[in-house]
Amino acid sequence: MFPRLSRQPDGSIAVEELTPPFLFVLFEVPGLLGPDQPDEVKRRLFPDPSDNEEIRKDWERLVHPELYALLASAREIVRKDLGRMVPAGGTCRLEIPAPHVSAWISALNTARLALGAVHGIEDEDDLHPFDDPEEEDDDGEEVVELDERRLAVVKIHLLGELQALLVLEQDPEAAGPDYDPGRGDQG
Amino acid sequence: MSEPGVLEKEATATQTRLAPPWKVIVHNDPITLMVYVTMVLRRLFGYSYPKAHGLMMEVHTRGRAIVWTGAREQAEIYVQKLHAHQLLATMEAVDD
Repeated sequence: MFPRLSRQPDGSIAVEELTPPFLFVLFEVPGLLGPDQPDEVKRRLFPDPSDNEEIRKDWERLVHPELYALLASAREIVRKDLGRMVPAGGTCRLEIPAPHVSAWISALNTARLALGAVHGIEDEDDLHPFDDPEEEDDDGEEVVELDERRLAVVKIHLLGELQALLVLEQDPEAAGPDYDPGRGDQG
Repeated sequence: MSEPGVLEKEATATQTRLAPPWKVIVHNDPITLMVYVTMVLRRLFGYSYPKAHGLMMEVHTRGRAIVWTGAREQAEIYVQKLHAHQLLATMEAVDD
């Protein structure tokens, strides 16, 4: 179900066994990083740095344009790399050149945050929407309706799986000294 | 009153005060991966794994952690870099 990563001799990262659910979500990433974002997404991606009014005004003038440029750059990198995917036995293979890996990690993180901001994901419990179904069918059985918010949480988890794999490929020590890449354990 | 032809020297005292240090604070959010926060703290501040992991856990369990303290200009640079990595970060003067 989950993709497999391997470092290539040239330093790029091959992401293999990308199944249709993953592909479906991955192709949404550039759109989630687009320039016309709802206010709640902008507030999360461009947060206030301080209560100090002077710092905040300088931030909007000097820092926000740089952050927007970084976001646009990451979006473009992801869009181009997705356009070069190749089919491989019913799944797809994505090759991320070494200089693009940080942009991918950032883009996946941003996409997850954008989904969370749009759907009001504000605490840990919101990330487990299937734990406590509130609906019942006609027979009184608990059922889960896959609404937009729950679907967004699924996307956040899927993108998070790939993001974690890339982070650990890039910085295995981030998972601690006991991390064993061969086990696929995320620590 | 001074005598004619004698300049009176006014006594002055200069008090210098060091600018207060600023603290850089990272705040929790439920979506950002723990391993990602650890990686960012390691990369931006050069922290060892135990230090970066400890700060990340403090953010996770207490809602925020002071990740660095020092001069205002450097604090601004760190907050900008943390925002570039989409972490919720703020800065406050230590004596606030």
